[in-house]
Amino acid sequence: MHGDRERDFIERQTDREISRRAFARWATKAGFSSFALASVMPSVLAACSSEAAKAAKTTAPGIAGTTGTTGQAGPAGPAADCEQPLKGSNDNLRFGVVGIFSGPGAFVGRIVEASLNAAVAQINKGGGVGGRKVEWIKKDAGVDPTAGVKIYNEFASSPDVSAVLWAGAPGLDESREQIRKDGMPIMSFYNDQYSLGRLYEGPGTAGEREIFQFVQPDIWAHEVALRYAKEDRGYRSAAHMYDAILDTNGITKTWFERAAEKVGIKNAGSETFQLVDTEYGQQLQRLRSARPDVVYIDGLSQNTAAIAQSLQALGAEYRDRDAVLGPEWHPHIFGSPGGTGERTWADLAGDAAKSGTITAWHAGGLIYLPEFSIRQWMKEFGIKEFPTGGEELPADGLYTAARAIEDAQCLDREAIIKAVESGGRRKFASVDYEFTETSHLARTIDDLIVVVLEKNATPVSTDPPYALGREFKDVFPGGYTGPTHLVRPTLEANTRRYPDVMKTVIEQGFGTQCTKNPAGKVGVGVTMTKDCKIH
Amino acid sequence: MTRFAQFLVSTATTGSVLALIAVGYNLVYSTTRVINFAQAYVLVAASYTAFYFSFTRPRGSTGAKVDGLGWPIGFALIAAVVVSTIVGVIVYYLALRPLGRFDPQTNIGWILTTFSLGILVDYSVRKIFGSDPQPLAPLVKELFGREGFQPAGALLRPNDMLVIASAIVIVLVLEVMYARTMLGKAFKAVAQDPTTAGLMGINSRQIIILSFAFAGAIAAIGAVLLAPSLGGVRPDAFFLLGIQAFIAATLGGLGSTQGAIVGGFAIAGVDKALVALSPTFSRYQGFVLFGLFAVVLILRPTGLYGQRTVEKV
Repeated sequence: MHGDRERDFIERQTDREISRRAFARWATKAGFSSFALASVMPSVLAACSSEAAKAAKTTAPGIAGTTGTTGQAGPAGPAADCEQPLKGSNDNLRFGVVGIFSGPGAFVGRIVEASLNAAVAQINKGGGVGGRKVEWIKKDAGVDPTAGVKIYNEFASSPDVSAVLWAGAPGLDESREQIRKDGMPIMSFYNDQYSLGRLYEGPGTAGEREIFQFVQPDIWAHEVALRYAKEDRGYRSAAHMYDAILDTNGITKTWFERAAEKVGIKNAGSETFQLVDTEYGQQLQRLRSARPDVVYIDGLSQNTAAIAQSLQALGAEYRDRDAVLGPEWHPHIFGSPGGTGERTWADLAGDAAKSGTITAWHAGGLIYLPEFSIRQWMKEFGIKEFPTGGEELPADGLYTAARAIEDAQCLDREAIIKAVESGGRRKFASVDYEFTETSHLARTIDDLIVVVLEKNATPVSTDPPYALGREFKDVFPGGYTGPTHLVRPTLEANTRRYPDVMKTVIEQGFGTQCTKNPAGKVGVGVTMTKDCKIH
Repeated sequence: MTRFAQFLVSTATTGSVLALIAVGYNLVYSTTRVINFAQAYVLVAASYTAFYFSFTRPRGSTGAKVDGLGWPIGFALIAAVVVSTIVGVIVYYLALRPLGRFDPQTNIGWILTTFSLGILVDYSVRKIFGSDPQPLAPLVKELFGREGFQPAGALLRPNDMLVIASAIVIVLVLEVMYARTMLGKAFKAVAQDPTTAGLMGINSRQIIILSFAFAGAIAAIGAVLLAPSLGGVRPDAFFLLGIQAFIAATLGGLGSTQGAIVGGFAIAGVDKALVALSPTFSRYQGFVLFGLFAVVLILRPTGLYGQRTVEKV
């Protein structure tokens, strides 16, 4: 049988498009004609060329960012068994993105799109990867897990897609087994496998070696926020509300319960609501009986806003710590990154959104800091979207995959995964991060920060007073309302992890620092106390 | 006592929400025997119209792609009523008119056309305004200087009162129209037999267009009242509510205005009873809702207020 006809025959049997390389390998083993070998010989010869085999000691051109660690010799040419050398073609490198670009989570897609466009522009500006430009393929899974699975399968069966970037879309859990079979590298920005106990942590552990997680685990976010409530604010109890449509299994309830137990704050109960609820009276009446000092809302910005408005209508809006601990019920509102961490929630809630509302994120999200690149790229490449936070993760994900290909000089999936694991500490959009063979999580718990809502670029009038960080003057548009860094609660841990970043924050006066000093005092030696009543 | 009072208030509020949307389904069904699956998206179009006319912030500040006109919300409501009335009529011309004369029971092309049109509206709204939820001020935020009242301890907001009142008034107006006016009689005649109604001098097409127009207008009232309680306007806001309202309309009896209220309150009552029983029972809401739906339809296929039609063979 003629070589091409052989390939067609096999493709029909397997219902998959087969790369010429894969066909050649299979054909050789199956004892088919030598034409199969001849079809890929030029590529094989190119991969073995002495030029490709030269070791490079510095970062290969085209990838902005550095390896930044010892033991990383830079791209040394593809391994001998590499079937798809990087230099084997001039085609663009393609990364498939499984995202949410429609439906209630569409705001995530907006962040992803802005971030990836900036990252791609930055990488291509430097010449791309091994001279090849980078591009990303956008696919929308909406809220449908089957759509996520279908999109993944399309990407996995395409020979042109080097890695898949999973941008918070459903379907990752359902695809795990197939991912393992395919060996497809997955950069997961917002999907949290760690909190579900499914992130790979070395041989013999649960989880797929192919998946790398960039977002901080939600279970840590609950812990950090509740620890702030207990140890910083002196609160006694916390209640939980979560969306039963988005979280049908109540997993966030489990995380909340575990975090409350670990931190030692009383769990005042859990209530559910639905994405399309128009009133929350029954849930709030039950909570009013329990009188929690904190109401932790795991939901999207629109529901969080509606709950805040209902609390205000009930006369139970958050005022300050004294009111929380006082005789009437005025709980402090904590929320999820997709709820109170989203800038739009304050617009939706209007005056029911109070300064001091809390969420948790990670230090790399402080993209207004001068040393973080992503803000500049977004301006430089004409991306007009004002960053809302979270843009650093998709950019880092794309870079990690691209960088791994650069390091491995190879597009084989296994080679990419190995290169991600052995690439050492990387830095691209904001803070540095690292994956290893036993850690597929880019974050540590010391990365986490507390984030607080500030409104209209004006501190709340309170005694003792506090000052807003300089980002309100130098970065944010005038009259900005939105989340920003609350420095004090996690300062020690953040300094351990990112001493240089926190030095910038303290010395240059970024973030809400709640000092007792007069407003405007910055620099080392600033005293931050827990006396602030708002946060 | 407080919890029982809250249960009643929550049932009344949510039931009225569903009734307001269900009435739109019933109006169109009453003249065409067709379920207008685009109705939920007419609400979306209405809510975004109100947003556009009332929005005061610069574009981009909330992720919105447009600059709003900054009108007071009352005038924005009027604009929304006008626009969604037109949208309702457009739905007729694009989804039903091309099908010509057809028997809805045997020719189900209307399912595809109304659904498709709804998706088109959804897509258009996203393209024009973006997908982020956007703020919409309530028609009445405060009454006598208060944002909320607590009869017997239950939370009742001014906007909730308006929703309940609107649902009752609209149902009453429609009931009076059907019972006491020539227009109402014309609606009923067209529903029974458009051909014979035509022979009697009734312009069936005009009546059908009117039913779509009324459904559009009511959708605007519903949308402007409900969007603030939903946390803002967003493209997906009324899709799930639309399904619940459709179930309410079917439960109450398609074509029956009274049925819309009864169906809406029945579903809301069951839902709120679940929430009252346990904090986590609302996870089973879908299961209970559709289970109840199936049971009622098995026992009474025409719904609680629907009328049985006997076909003589």
